[in-house]
Amino acid sequence: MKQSSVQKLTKLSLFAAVALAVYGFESLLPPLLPVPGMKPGLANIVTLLLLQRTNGKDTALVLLVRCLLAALLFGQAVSLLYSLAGGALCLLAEFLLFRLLQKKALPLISAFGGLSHNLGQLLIACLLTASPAPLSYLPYLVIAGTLTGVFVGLCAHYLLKALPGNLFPENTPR
Amino acid sequence: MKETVTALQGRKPNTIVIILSAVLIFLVLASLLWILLAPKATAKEGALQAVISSEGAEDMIIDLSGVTEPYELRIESAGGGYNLLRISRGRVDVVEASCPDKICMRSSAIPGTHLPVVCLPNRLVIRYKNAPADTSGIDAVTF
Repeated sequence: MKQSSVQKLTKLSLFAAVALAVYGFESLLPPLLPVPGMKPGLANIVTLLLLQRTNGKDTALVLLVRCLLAALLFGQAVSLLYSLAGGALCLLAEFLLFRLLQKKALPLISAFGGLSHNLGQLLIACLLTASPAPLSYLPYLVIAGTLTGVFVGLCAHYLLKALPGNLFPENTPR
Repeated sequence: MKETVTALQGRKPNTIVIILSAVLIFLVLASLLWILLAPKATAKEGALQAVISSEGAEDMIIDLSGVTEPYELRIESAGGGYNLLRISRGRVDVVEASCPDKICMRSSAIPGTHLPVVCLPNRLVIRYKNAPADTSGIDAVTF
């Protein structure tokens, strides 16, 4: 039992490191469109993998670690608030959809995740600037969130096929 | 909400997938329509204004149609940062910003739109709007 919890901690840390590396790599890519803050959200692949293979609590922990470390390494106080709001909403949406869809249709789940991620960030932007002006970006962010979400979901779908099935033995279904 | 969830769970997941996909497609189409049909605060050259709001400062209104020579304007934010704006005829660009991400400098690049420029770290918002009719003196008087 002791052994397996250490193993789990190690694996989760590894996934947090992977998510952080992907996040860092992504921030180096040029933006796809000149809409501010638009990113493919590739780090969310890790969130989807963990939701599929572990549980909501572990996934939330890894997400939190990723956001905190990313803010320390690449960003600033504002971007922490920003990514936490987006990340939390995204995780919530994906967690609920995972329960609803019984772990099927990853691209669909991920599309809603991307959508809610962008909505969360937009909300924070409105709160911080105390102005409804950022809402003008809503249609762009809805489209971007959906498209990148589908892409991220497909990535996670194919990556899951390649990953060993017994990665997290204590959570393996059936 | 909970009833909806349990009611949905009773059905085959395929039905839910179809419903959710339909919702997504609807949202994307609605957004596309919104982008294409949104009224643009630009049509009449003669009346475009920029409203610059910064934390802890009064809104600054600049008449963009009256600009003949482009000039630069430095906006200091309450937190100690700054944004250097370039005001030219019909548009405002951020040419320099104190924040590390420089998102605001890449904004306002979608041609034909007048989306607001937002700098989150410095709490700066630049909006475009059409000037209210007839505030700048009298153009014509009829009896």
